[in-house]
Amino acid sequence: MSKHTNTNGSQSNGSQTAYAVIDGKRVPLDYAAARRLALNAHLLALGDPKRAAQMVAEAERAERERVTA
Amino acid sequence: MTPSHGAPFRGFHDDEESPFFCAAGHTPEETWDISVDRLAQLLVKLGLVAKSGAIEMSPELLCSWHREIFGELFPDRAGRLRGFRDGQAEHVYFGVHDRGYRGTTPRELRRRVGKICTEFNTAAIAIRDSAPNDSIDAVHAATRLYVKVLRAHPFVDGNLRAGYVSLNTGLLTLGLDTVEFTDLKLHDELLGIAFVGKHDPYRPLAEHIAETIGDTKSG
Repeated sequence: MSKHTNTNGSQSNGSQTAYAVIDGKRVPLDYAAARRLALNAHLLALGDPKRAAQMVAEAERAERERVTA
Repeated sequence: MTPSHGAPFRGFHDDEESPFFCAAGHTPEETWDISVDRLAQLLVKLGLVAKSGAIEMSPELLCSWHREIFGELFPDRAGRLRGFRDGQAEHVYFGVHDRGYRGTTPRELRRRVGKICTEFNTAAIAIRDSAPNDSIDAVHAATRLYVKVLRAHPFVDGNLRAGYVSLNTGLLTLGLDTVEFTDLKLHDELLGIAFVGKHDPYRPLAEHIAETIGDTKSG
């Protein structure tokens, strides 16, 4: 990370441990929890390829129609 | 699609045409595994940083996260906002909940992302200064950041993963817990509402995140 700037230096949470909510449970944000989150992000990003391709095709068609209108 | 958290790699769902589908010298599975690992390391680090002081959002910070996740795999594209290549604008198209979108035009992108970050930073200061803190306001601010980053689509690929970091960093820096989305379809539906809805369109997704945080049990 290149830059982290304190805006007011205060944190409302007194704990020095960050937490994650995994499967409805509050657990410390260690590597195992973070890996679960990272997998979640990948699944969200890389969902249904057929649907994604369809969405892109529709967007491109709409853009072509907008340009030629 | 069924979430496969914690399970071994069981199939890649990305489009083979996606720029970040497979890195040179790696298989798709290795590409996936490396970016998962880098994203996980980044989240751990951000948890520690958030506990040591408030994190101020900026386009440079967003780019640095993208670079940390993808820099080893795609060094020429990681951490770089979309711009112009060989005289051609790097437009991106994406779909959410049965609609297609185009990301912010490259000419406007840096200004747009800067505005999104400033809006979050301003809201974060106001939330921290208010007492007692209202967690729904904090979740709403982080949600708005997430949705707007995704709508702008700052990078040629890897936008949801970078946006996911922005959401969870927004939550962390406002003293809240990070969250996962166990219902991927619901996530997309609420994101679709946030993209096109009227009258506080971020509210349904923010409330879903707030419920996720609020319904926790001790681990």
